[in-house]
Amino acid sequence: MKTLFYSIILVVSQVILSAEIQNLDVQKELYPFDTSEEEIRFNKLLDDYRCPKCQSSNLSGSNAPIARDLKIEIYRLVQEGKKDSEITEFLTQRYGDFILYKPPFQPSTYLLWLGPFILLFSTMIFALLAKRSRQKKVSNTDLRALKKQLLSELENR
Amino acid sequence: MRRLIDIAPLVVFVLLVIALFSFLKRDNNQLNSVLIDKNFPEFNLTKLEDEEVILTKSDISHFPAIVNVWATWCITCRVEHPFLLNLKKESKIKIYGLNYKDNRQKALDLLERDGNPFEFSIYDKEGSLAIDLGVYGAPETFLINSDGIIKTRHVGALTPEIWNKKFVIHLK
Repeated sequence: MKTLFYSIILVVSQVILSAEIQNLDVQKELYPFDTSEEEIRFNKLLDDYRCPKCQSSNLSGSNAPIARDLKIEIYRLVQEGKKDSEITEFLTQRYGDFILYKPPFQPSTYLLWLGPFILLFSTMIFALLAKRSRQKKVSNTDLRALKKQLLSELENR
Repeated sequence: MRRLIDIAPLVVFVLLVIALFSFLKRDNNQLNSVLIDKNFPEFNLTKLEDEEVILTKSDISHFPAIVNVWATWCITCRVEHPFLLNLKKESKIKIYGLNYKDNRQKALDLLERDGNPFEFSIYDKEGSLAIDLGVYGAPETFLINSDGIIKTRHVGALTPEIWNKKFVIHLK
């Protein structure tokens, strides 16, 4: 039973793996590069840009027609030897900052970038204040208890 | 003072929930075009109706104008088509078509069958002008004012309500 289970897993994973390899081969055929540096750069760019149509996936993960067109456009720009910053400029001039998965640091995104830190620090300050006030309370009751104890000891003598 | 500190986390939490819920209601399908208040991009493409004729930006010559991105494979464009035909009839505004990644013959057949609201259509087989316009889904409609500047962009089918809300305000 166990062997059957494992062999099924093995077959399934092989099928998935070969499909993945085929996918990679198709990608290589569609976008052939002279150097592997260019290819790595191209794949990195496709990971960093967002598909404007599907919005929750990057260009490399999307097969929407517009994503394919943009891939072809980026392929052309990489082939022409354009720098990453130039390609980003090309895309943002047409599709806006929306196309970037990493939004730039500017007035409209201050809250986005700084929000987590503001939240972290305000929570820390709050926790500190809360702790201090509790400590004060505890020490007060301690003192009162000590006083009581001393008094009763005195009375007992 | 102590009371205030005790309820502070609750207040912050409630405010956060309200803020996040208000973001949920935002319409994410309408991306703001970065081309608003910019010049219409240059292009060099053939005319849908005649592949011998090369069109450039100067062929869009009657302002104010709208440029409508359409295709035969685009179902929402079919929904929008009667609105454009009606607009051509009732308004002085010129409508130019941008036939987007389409088959020339199919596009011509459709205009023949359903009526043609466009002065002419630009035949953008590869979608190059569409990329320059930041198009990400047909139909899209751009309004160009009398100075040749893009004033608004709508993604999706035009309706009389959307026309009045987003376009008419720029036509005065």
